[in-house]
Amino acid sequence: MESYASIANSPLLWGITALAVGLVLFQTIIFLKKSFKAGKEMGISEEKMKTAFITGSISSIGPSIVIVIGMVSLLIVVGGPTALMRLAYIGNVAYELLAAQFAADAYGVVLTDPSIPQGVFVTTLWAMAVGCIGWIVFTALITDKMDKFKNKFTGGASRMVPVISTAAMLGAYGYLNAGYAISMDGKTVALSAGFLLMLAIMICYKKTKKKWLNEWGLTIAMVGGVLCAVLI
Amino acid sequence: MKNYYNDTYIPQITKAGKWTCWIGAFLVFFPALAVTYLFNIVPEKGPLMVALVAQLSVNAVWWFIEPISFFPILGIPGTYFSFLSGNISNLRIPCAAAALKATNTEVGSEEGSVISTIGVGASVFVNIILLVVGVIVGTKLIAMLPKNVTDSFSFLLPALFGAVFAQFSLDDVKSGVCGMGLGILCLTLYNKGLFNWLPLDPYIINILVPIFGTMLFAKLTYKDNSVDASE
Repeated sequence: MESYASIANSPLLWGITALAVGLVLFQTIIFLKKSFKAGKEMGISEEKMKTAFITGSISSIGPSIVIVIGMVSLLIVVGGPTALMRLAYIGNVAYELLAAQFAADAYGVVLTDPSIPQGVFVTTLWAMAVGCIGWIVFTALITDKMDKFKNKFTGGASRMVPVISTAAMLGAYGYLNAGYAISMDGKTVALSAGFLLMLAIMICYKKTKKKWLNEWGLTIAMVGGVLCAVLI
Repeated sequence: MKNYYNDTYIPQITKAGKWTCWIGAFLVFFPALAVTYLFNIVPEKGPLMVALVAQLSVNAVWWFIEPISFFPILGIPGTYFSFLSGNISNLRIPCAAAALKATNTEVGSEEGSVISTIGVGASVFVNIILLVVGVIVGTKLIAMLPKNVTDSFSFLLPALFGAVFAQFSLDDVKSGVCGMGLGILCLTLYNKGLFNWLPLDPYIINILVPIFGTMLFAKLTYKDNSVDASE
């Protein structure tokens, strides 16, 4: 029987990962093409769409580093291809690590044990797959129907939609921030510093209209927030 | 102008989004199927059931809560997009938000939905490139970094979330205070065990109440404004 590590890093699993990543890239290219075309038809300037693309690219560097760090801890447990697939595709690093934990618990072994049985690996894979299937199925089934619900909520007043969406955003990040806000440690400092730096950058932008401030703003605030938390 | 968005763009996106998600749903099982049937490593039934039940008891509620909760922010294209590529609150939404802000576009509007889709699309490329680099050199690179650098990694997410929050709270300070207040209030009450009587995972209250509470708050205060204006 082949060893656990050689199966976990086998060409077959790399191939499946390539398919999954390929599907995500394929969807991205379709969506981008259609969006650029729609933007043109709707009279959005090319300049504006370019700015959106550049800003999206720059802003994703910082958050991606967080995900890469999460992937490294997953990689040690499930091997390269599975870690890459699970984080480029549907997954979320917290749930994926949990799947490995549950599988190890079910076999009554410790995850870091080098002589971990192969059954743990395959059980992890099943738990990961079954654990995330609902998101994608629910999304496929319900997304186009949710627009109607949104229209009902705003009572058909289209001017109200941005107001409600901004509120949804603030509520979502209110939820995400709450844990850091009440932990009263370095994370609270990072949260507040990121918040204040971004406010300062936005006020600067309003005064100077320097484009790079807008494109790099999120990254500067993120790195600055981390530095504040480390230094304080 | 409006017709192209509703009559052409959204139907096309819905069609492409649906079939890519369905293929995605099948692909998810490929690694598990391959290891079970091609490498013949069959999981033991007992532990498999225990692990699956444990995983589902944590995840299953979020299958429904997350798409519904994030829909007002992501819109139709963004929802298909984000749930296939994953990492929504920690990557896709911040990128969509930054793209909207850099172009002065309103979130939730038709133009906003196109702009945020472009922003999220750009993030997919960068994220995949960095993940591929990470999978090749990540383990060695992280082992080489000094401890105080690796310790600071835990501050990245809170700093990012604080910055995203700032971007939107300038638009609507009152809703910002409301969202943050509800977030903290729910979490504090949850930590005290006041929601334990709820069925399923009582933790869902911490996401549902801040999002829908703030939406409701904005709706009510918006109505007041329009009444004032008309008087």
